[in-house]
Amino acid sequence: MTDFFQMYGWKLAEAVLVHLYYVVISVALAFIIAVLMAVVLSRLPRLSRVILPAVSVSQTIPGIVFIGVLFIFLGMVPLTVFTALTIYAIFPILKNTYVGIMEVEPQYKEAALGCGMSARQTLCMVELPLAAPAIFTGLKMSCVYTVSWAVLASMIGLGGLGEFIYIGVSTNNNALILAGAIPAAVMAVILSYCIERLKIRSLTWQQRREIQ
Amino acid sequence: MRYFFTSVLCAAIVGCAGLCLGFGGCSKQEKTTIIIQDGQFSEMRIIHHAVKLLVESNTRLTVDIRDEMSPVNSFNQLVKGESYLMNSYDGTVLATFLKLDPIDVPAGSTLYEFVNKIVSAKHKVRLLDKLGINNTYAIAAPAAVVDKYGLKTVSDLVPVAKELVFGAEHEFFSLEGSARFKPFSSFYGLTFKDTKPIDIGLKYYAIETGNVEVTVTYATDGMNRKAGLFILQDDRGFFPEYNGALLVRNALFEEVKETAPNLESVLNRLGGVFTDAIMSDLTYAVDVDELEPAAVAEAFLVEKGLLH
Amino acid sequence: MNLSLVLEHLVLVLFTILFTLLFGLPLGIYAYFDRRAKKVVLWSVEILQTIPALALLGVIMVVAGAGKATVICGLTLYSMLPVVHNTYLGLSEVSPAIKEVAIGMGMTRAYRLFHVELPIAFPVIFTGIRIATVTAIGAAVFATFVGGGGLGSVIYRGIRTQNMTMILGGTLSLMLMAVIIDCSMGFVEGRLHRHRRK
Repeated sequence: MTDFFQMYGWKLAEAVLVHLYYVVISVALAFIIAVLMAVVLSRLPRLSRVILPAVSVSQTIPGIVFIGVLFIFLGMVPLTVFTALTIYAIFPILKNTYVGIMEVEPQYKEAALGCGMSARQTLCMVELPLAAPAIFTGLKMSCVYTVSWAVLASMIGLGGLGEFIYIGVSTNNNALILAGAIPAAVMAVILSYCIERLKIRSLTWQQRREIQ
Repeated sequence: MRYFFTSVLCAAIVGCAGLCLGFGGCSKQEKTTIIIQDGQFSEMRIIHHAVKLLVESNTRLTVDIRDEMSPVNSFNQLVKGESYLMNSYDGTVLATFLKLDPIDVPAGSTLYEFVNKIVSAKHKVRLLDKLGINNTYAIAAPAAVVDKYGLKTVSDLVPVAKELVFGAEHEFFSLEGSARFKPFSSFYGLTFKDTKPIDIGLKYYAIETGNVEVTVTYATDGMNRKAGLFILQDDRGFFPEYNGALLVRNALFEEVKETAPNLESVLNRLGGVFTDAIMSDLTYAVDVDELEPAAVAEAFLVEKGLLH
Repeated sequence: MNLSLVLEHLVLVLFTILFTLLFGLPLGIYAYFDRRAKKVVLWSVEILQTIPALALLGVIMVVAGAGKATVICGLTLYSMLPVVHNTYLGLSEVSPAIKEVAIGMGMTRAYRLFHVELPIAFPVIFTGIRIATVTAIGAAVFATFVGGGGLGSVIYRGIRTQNMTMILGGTLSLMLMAVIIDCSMGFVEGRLHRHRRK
């Protein structure tokens, strides 16, 4: 065990950081894009009937194909990883945000209208806050998935925890696979816990009471 | 609706039973069928199909080629008795399966002899005659890089390595084992600008797009020609030999002696019929010209007069 | 050749779903019955989901050897979450009034579960099965890394030999499979939910 850490310790620490870097940047990008898309789509429900299934179909493209094809166009740069991971991470956030906004009860929107709020005010002060729990649920799912998809970065020589998993699988070395998988799982759990805390803070007192 | 759960449960149980039967069936194959787990590289697939054609036309056995697997997995299946034979390499058996080193080979014994003695005693499998291919690791670079720096041998890389990016599949960067990046680069005293562990499937793209300038490849891989790779001579002899040979279970010939008493001699007809150049052509036909491995193997055997 | 690979892929997914139901349904029901176990059960299936598919299959492969059994085992663990979660969710969403009526009618615990609660929760459970199926179709691509065959092997060989038709053929069949299964299960799901609302 100590041998293992002497041999791989630094490499592992570096891989964890690189992995986290890919996840945080991609999920942050995906979050911005997805929330904007959801807002637009919630205003154009007809369009959403085409866009949402299309985005969900894109989820079925296997990672190795997607990252492989992107790699041909963009080359061996982190941008390739960010693009691929961001596109994968958009869907859960988009879907949840969209549903969250659509499920805001009309009475609140009418009340907002009655108070003389503009469309933008209604969105920012009524709809998005009420949809916040759903948005955070989507964000949490995206984070967990992205931690596991970021393994693909090592396919194109860009490191991360996937490197350990890859070397382990190709040389039948369980210690290496676990050295990649355990930090990834821990990372996913920590991220999802943090987002869960955020989600609870975002609840209105009424929603909080419902949960309790 | 309420019957749904009962039916799901029944279906699941039937499914389990089916699966168990299926797996049970595998291990209780009649001795008239030889099972081979296919390899992931065209070379292995061609050789397996050549074995199938040869055995089926010269004995009463049938050969069943199953899903492709990585060499280590195929080896485990073979040792467990789930499969009967596979194409392998003496260097692979030494380094990957036995986890030994070329320096463990005693003086006066060849790698092939040494490996065969150990693996036969330890795992009850042995190598048949060498097929004639030496699919060793080879350091290679694309034409543009070779021309620019005037490279011929691996030693030529030493002064220019710091300007070049070295990329290879993850396996080569493992810190355990001998025919690996670290021992290799310190043996030659090479310091590359950067090293990129990359999926073997994407390696050739990386080379064509210039993301990787020097790589390690297999000597007989048809993709080398497609990607325009030049092999740099291993002038100080770092890499061990990787002589291709069929790896069989010791008990195989005993088990089938009723149906095919001549099996060993039939299999050994493949001994020495290949060369690196021939194999490179054959894999090129499969990987680049998109021919079926079975068809390529058949054409080759007919040409060699082993099949009519 | 392509069709047999599609079938092989489907068989992998089918067995995965069967095993997921076999273990997932009882786990979900158990989580519903035992409030203390609930946290542990839901938490552990969630942890399973955070392990990268390649790593999960890799570890099982080292222990159990390569092949279809390993793939099915790994994919089953991987698709557990939606089934367990939705089984629990569906059951706990059954309205208390109905449960009380069932108790009042003198039904036994098992009778209530199989004849009242599960049928009412079924549409939600079915949604879980649908999610699990579609995920399994995608994740089964990794089978090729541990010798399990399926469409992953075509795609991967295509990538290795830079054969675009092979890559696209494999990918499109995979996507088509996912979309067809998703849509038909979605259709069933829609009808179930409508049925429930009535």
